[in-house]
Amino acid sequence: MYAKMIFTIFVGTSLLFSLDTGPNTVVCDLVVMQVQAGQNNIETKIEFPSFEYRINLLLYFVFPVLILLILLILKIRQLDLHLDDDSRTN
Amino acid sequence: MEKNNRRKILNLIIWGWAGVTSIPFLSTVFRFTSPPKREGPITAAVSTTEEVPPNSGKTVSLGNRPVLLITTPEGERRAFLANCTHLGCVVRYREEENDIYCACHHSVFDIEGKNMSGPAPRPLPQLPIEIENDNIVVTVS
Amino acid sequence: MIQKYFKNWCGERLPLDTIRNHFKNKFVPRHRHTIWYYLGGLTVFFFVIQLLTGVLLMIYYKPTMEGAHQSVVYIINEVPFGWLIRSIHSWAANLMIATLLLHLMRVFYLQAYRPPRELMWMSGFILLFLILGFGFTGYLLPWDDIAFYATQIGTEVPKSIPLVGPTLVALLRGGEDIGEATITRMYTLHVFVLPIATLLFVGIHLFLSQYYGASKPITTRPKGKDIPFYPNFVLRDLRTWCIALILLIGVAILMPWGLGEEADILRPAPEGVKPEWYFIPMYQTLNILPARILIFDGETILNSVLMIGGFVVFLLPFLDRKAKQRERNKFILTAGTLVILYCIVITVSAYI
Ligand code: HEM
Ligand code: FES
Repeated sequence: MYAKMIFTIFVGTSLLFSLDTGPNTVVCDLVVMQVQAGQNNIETKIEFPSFEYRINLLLYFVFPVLILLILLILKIRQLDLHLDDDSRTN
Repeated sequence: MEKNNRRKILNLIIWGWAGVTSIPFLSTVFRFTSPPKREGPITAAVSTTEEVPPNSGKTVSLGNRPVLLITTPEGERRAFLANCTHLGCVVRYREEENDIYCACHHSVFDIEGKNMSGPAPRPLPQLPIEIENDNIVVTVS
Repeated sequence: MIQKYFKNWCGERLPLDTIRNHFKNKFVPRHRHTIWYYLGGLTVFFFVIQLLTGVLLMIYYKPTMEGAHQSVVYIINEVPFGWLIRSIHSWAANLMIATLLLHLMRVFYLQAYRPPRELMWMSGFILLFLILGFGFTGYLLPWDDIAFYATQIGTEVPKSIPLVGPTLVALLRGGEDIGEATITRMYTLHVFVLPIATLLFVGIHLFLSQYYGASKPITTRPKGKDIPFYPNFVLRDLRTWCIALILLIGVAILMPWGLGEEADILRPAPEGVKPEWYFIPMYQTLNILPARILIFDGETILNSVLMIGGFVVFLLPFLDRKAKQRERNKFILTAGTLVILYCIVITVSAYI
């Protein structure tokens, strides 16, 4: 039983990482968000990664958390089934 | 029994998945904390020729690394990465002995940078050197 | 096998059973306001995020006049995911203050500060100031022009406090003016003094919350049985945290936190200098207050009102006689609501 579980988790993980969304694999082309030249000629404009890159990144972080959230909700339901049992006095 | 088992499994899945969830976060922290790679080769004039007369040495810094410039008694100029190949102490040129010496564990290199005695396992890496209008120009990779 | 051995080993040495029994016998009341009980936990969650991301930012941040702005630019542009870590730190700071204020309101409206929880209210009140302190000291660190002027104004405010005012200002700034000495002071407060003090008070606050358990509201009817704290309520807390994490990452990635131009002491103040939103009620009140009222300075009056008001709020559990008898105190609830409404209205007015 446990072996099956662990197997499933491994397959899940590898699937997750084969989704081409990891920060290692996405080409990051930078967009200039705010341009400005400082004194002393120091480069001080800041740049953020492109929108597409950030959407991918978002999925990369949020997807596993979302699944964890669903699992937690399932667990809470499972526990709540017994909440109003009379087996426990308040 | 049935019920108990099902609970256990859900717990296990949740713990397992919590582990999986931590991977992207931990890998981000790892990437963030990994120091940037050293920049590519740097070439710069580090000293004038006058400052390193025959049978002398001088340590200069280039791209955050110590570089030992020496001029042999015959007037030949060389540049080495000054970190000892044993455990990285900065070496110096010894006029009397006409060699390169590391005080940490007493390694001695000859003026070609070859390790002669002491624990140093390898010769000092020699750096390309050029003379431009009385300036010594060195390149580190 | 190993697991069991480990459990036994720990169980023989630590009061694990006592702790487990404690959590098993603690219940959270279930009624239509239960959802508000997550706010304290959410604040803890954001605080932990701040500690983690803050330590990461410390690796690259340089608290010097030449280095500060440039190191933040470096974090954003060069460090892998630097922009993201910084964005999370800035967003979580604001979200934390939001949940903190909501938590305060829930405690206020459910009158959970009544005996025996006076110490929880008082430790919470101190936490409020510590967290606002984080916001104030952290705002200067990027050394951009808006931050510079906000700090200029913010450190000027205490000047009108009688007797100690000027000394206080000099202490905060590390001199007459804002400069490198101010950065290192703010930095020391932000990364050392405040975190340690906050950890201490969060510890006290959480310990007390476990010790007393959650209060039951005075009038609200219970809905079903109370929820066991462990595992049911802890799981619910975790659920909330997952949602908060998703939202936090979402805003941090989609709306990355920006950075203004490097501060320049000589440049005249730019348009739109404003403190962070949570300081707006104070800032805007200063703006609309006449410079002199009778023989007093407008600022002196505001400072006095704030200090007296703060004192009253701090001692609220002792002043509210009715809550002690488990009665709703209409007067205090109305007064509190008026203050909250005033803050909302004046904040909105500052942005339009
Ligand atoms: C860093 C800031 C704070 C953190 C991390 C925090 C955390 C918590 C937590 C986790 C709880 C138990 C769960 C809950 O009732 O929501 C709690 C309860 C409480 N907090 Fe806070 N809190 C903070 C600030 C405050 C402030 C500013 C006040 C009010 C001035 C306050 C007053 C209380 C009181 C009276 C309770 C007991 C409520 C009850 O038992 O019903 N806290 N806090
Ligand atoms: S480091 Fe030079 S001899 Fe050991």
